[in-house]
Formats: sequence, C-alpha cells, structure tokens
Amino acid sequence: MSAARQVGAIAVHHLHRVLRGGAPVWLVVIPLALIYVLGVTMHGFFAAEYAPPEPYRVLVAPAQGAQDAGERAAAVAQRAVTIVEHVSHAREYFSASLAAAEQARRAVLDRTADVAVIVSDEEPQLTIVAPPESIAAASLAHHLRRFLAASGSEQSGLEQSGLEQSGSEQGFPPSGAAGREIQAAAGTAAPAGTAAPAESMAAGAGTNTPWSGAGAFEYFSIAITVMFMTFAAHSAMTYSAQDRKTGAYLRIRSMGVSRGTYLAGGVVSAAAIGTAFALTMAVVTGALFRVDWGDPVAWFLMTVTGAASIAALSFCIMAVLPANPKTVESAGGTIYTLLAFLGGSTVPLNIMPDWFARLFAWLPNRRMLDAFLAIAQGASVQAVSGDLAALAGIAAALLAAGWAVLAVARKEGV
Amino acid sequence: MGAAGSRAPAPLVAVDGLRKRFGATVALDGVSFAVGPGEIFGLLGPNGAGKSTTLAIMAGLVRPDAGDVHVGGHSISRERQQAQRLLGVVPQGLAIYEEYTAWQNLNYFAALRGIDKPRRRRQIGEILAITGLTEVAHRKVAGFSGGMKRRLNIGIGLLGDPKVLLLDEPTVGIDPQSRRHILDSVRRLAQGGMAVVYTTHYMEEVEYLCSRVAIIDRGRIIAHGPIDEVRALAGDAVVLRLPSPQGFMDDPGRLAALRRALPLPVEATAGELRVVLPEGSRQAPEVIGTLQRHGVALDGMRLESPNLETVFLALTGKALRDGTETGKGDVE
Repeated sequence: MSAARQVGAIAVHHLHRVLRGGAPVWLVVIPLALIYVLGVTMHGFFAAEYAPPEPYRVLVAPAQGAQDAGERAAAVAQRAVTIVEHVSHAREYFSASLAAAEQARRAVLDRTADVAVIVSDEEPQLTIVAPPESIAAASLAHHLRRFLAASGSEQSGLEQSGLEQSGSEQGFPPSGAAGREIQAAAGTAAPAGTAAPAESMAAGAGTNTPWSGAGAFEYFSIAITVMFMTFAAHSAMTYSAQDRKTGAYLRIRSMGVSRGTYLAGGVVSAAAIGTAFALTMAVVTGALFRVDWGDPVAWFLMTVTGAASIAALSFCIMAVLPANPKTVESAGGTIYTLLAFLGGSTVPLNIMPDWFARLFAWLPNRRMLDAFLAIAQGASVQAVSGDLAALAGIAAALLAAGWAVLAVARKEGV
Repeated sequence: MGAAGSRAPAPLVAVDGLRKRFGATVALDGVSFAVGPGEIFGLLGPNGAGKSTTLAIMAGLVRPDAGDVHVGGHSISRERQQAQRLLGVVPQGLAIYEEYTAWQNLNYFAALRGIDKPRRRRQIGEILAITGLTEVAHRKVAGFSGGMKRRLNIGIGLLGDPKVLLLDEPTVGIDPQSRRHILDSVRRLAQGGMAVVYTTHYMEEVEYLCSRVAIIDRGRIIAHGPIDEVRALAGDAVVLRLPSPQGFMDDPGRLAALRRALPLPVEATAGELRVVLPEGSRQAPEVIGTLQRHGVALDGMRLESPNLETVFLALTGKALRDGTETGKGDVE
C-alpha cells in the first residue's frame, strides 16, 4: 500500500473517530450558542453596528483638479454621484450630498459635516476625511468597504478596491487629535484590513484594523469559528496520542506503516476536521446570522492554511507531552483556550488596549482572525497572501519542531 | 544445550545476538534463537526480563544496538518492509478500537496492511471464524468481554496471512475459557505451518503449547531448548509449597530471618511460600524443621515435581510471575 493511501486511511479513521465521539454536537451547537450570546450582548461595542440618533452627515466631493472638463473629470463626478446614492441608501445611518472638495474638508473641520469622501481618478480613489476617533468614519468605512467589495468591474474600476489608512493630516488641530483619512485604492496590493495589525492599531481605535468594520455577529462568527477550529483539530490529534498509549500505534507500525506516514495521517486528519468545521460554520452562520465570509477562494485558502498551522501546533503539543491522551487533551484545551483569549476570540479586540492587540498579533489564531475578517470585508487572495505565507511558515516550523522532539525521544525507544 | 536453531534447518525466524540498551539499563544482552515453520517457541520470563523488547525488535519497531533478526530470510534492519509483510504482531496491550465493531477494527487494519477489498472481506470472515467472533462481528467492541477483546487483538495479528506470528502475553487478564480458546487457536495456526513466538510469564501455557522454550532474565537467555531438556536443568530439585503461612506475608522481618536460616531459594508471593530443594526431597526434613523453628504452620504443605517455574526459580532465585527477589541472593 502506498504511503499516500496509508495517510488517507489513517486520516479518515481519525476523522471517523472524532465524528463518532460526539463532535457534531459540541462542534456546532456550542459555538453557535456562543456566537449568538456574544453577538447579542456585545452588539454595542462594534462601531459598524452603532446606529446614531441622527444620520451621519456625509459630503461626497470630486477631488480638486478632477473637476476640470474632460472625460476623466466626468468619470470622477459620476463616481461621486454613485457613492452619494449608495451612501444615502442607508438612511438610518447616513445623509449624503455632493460638495466641492475644499468645501467638504472645511465642513468637517467646522463640524457641519461628520465625514467627507473625496473621490479622485488616481490611486487612492476614495479618501475619507474625518476627525480623529470618529465613529462615523469607522461606520462609513465599513459601509464603503462592503460597497467596494460588491462593486462589479463596470463600476469605475472599483472592483479590486479596498481601504487604506493614509496617516496624513488634513488640517485638524495638532493638539494630539490628528485628523485622519481613510482611502480607497483601486488595484492596490494591500487593501482593506491587511496592513499589519500593529500598524493599524497604532493609528487609533476604530480605524482601519480588520475588526474595526465588523459587526458583532460577523466578528464573533469568525472569532468563535477560529477558536473551535483549534479544538476540532486538536481532538483529531488526541486520537493519535491514544493510539500511542494503547499499542495501536505499534501495531500499525508493525504493519509496514512508517512513523512519518502515521504522523502525517494524524496531521492531515487534524487539518481536515478543522477545515470541515470551518466550512460548516461558514454555511450555518451565513444562514442564521447573515454573515458574509467574503471571497470563497480566499476563504478556502485561509481555512486550509490556518487549519494546517493549528494541526501542526497540536502535533507539537502531542510530541512534547508523554503519550497519554488525557494529558494531551487537557493540555491542548488549556493552551487553545488561552490562545483564544489572547487572539481576540473570546473578548473582541476593539475593546482591548492597543498594546494587547499589538503584542499578540503574531499568534496563528490571531492571524487567522485578522485575515478572515479582512476577507469578510472584501479582501482578495492577493490581499491576504502575507497571512497565508505566515501561517504556512508557522505550520512548517511547528511540524519540524515536533518531528525533532520525537526524533530525540526515539533514541530512547520506539 | 545446543543452538536453538539446530533442530530447524530452515528457520522462518532467526534472532541473532540482539543487544539493546535504554540509557543505563541493559534491556537485551546477546539474545539468540531461531524458530521453524509450524513451531511454537516460548519466550518465558518475569516482567521486565526483555521479552517485549525482543518482540519489538523482531517486529521492526525498535532498532537493536547490535545483532539482527531475519524473517523469511529478510533482515529486519535492512529489509524491514519485506520482513514485516511476513509478520503478524499481537501486542501485549489491547491495540483495538473499542468504539468500533470487530468487523470495523479488522477492516481498518486490513486496509493499512494493503489488503485489497475482495481479499479483505474473505480474510475478515476467516479470522472472525478462527477467533469465534463471527456472531458478534458487528457489535461494538466496548461491549465485549475481556476474552473476546483478546481474541480480536489476536485476530488482527492474523491479517495478511503472516508466516510468523509474534504473540506478546496474549492471555493476560482473561477467563480460563477464553484462554483455552486462544491456546487452541494458536496450536491450530502452528499446525498450518505458521511459526509462532509466544511470550508469557505463565509457565503452564508454555508447557501446554510450546515444543521449545527460552527462559530470559535481565535481558539474557539463561536456558533454552526443548521443554524436557530445559526442565531437566532443575535436576533433582523439588519445590516445597506452603499456602499462605500466617504471619509471614505481613512481616518482612520474619521472612528475612527465615531466609537467613535457609540457604535455599525462597519465594514469597501473596498466595504462598515456596522453597526450592535443589537436592530433592531428602532435604525436606531439614527444611521443615527450620520452618517449624521459625513458627511457620505446615498446614497444606506439599512437595511438587520440577517444572519450568522451578527451573527459573532455581536458576535466578526469582519468581516468574512477579519477579519477587528471594533469599538466594542473600545467602550467596
């Protein structure tokens, strides 16, 4: 039997055991209950869902220079009108109108408008001008991201647009309350929410972090899914530890299955159960909570890579600990619960201090959370390629580390 | 005693000079034997003697520091996969999945072994019949008795029609009826031409099953050959057995005093006191006198002919079943 078929047989066997072990209940009912409870109770902490007493006043303006005559200027003006129409459509949140660029900026400074959107035909194409810490800007950014993500190619080349923070000041008083701009760039390589979280946080809460534009149900659907992906993957790896304890591992090895093949089967099963769980949650949360997980290709690649990194971490945990399934299970539970907290799965990152979000941005589950949020808000495969590469690197490093630990242990026995 | 392989001109298994050390502990120190087709070879020794390590090396699971094992002419070190194809291994632990049925267990391991589906179905049926589990093939193993689980454990080792079967203490913790079923099954398998290596610390199983035996202690084979020849190593020795002498089992001081007074192997277990009389029953009056002087009640005392356990006790001063140290070491 080829090694690949043996890997497949072992992986299917572990999956089967996880499913028979009551996983369909604890891996679906509990996460959904958590998402519902957290989504309802934490609703008020999410800017994107905050409904103002009065609609935000939005001025949309073609950029200076684009107002000249000619086709380009006409296109910019048309784009501005389209945005006004789109923003005005959400009457509960925004009241939008057209203005000249300088007039719009001045209106924001004078507080006669909450936000200005400057439209140009050069990259970036959209610029949001707002006072610092503006919840209106965060809410509008979220709204526009959705709009840009949903736009087709016929819509003035906005198809691949996303939002980026410019970091420039636009005439706001220098008293520490720097004004800020959020820009939409057409065809840029690093669109919405894909800047390093630490940089995003440095710009202030409610700015262009992956979680700033998410609603409560969207955030927790993704965060709790990431959290339970770790539990799901680890449950498969626990069965590998059980095999080592009972002697089934030795029996399998005596049947001509190499150590690498057996361990690969365990890792593949862990990654597969993580992926299957994420798929289930994407479908169910989409149906129950109307969560849009974004580009399916980006989502799939992120899911598989993320699940692989978690499987590799579980492999490492199993390699380090004695071959006792109870120890492996409880250690994994403790580690993944801690990671869930540090990675923003249990407490939303927008209510945690900046340093917290910055400090744990490297964790694999946090990377997954950020990337899934970005994908949900319109990021493409290209946009999350950095996260994909980082997670693949983490998976490779952890697999190598686990293998090295087992190699040392092998010198003392099987 | 001659070389173990001398009676089998074409051994299916040849174990040659195995040495293995785990840290400071010497697990095996030059273990050699050979087993021919149709032969049941017993590897007898107390817990920790090196039986399981020997089997693990034979199965290709542990690399020896020195020596080699050839299975059907294939070196387990250099041609592991070819050698493993000829081997069936039954580990000491229950290497089965309790949440699965017997059939599902067999099917999974058969798939790993690379047995194609039509052949797999036929073989699983045969093995279920051999192990007496046909009626319960589709029941979850969790509901099986200990004996049924042991039989399934053995059955999985039979997948792939192995030429050599390695059985590591296959009857631990089961009822007499299941034990008899297992022993008879092993006999039938050997009659079909399979070479069987059977490790146990139950000497009665070895005497029932095996044509040849090796006694292993602390990683070394201290006696091997046909059972009668090994048994003869005990010479005229007999064993004086006293069932549960009151006071002795709870008082290490009294036992130590008795051992000092008796320059003979004395073994104390929870159930009885045993004294090996190397020169036979003529030593009995003197020993009985010593026992009486130390306050040992003689109710139920009996003399027993030598068996493999006597040989082990006489050669090592230890019991086979639990490795309890005896007084022999104290007096030598």
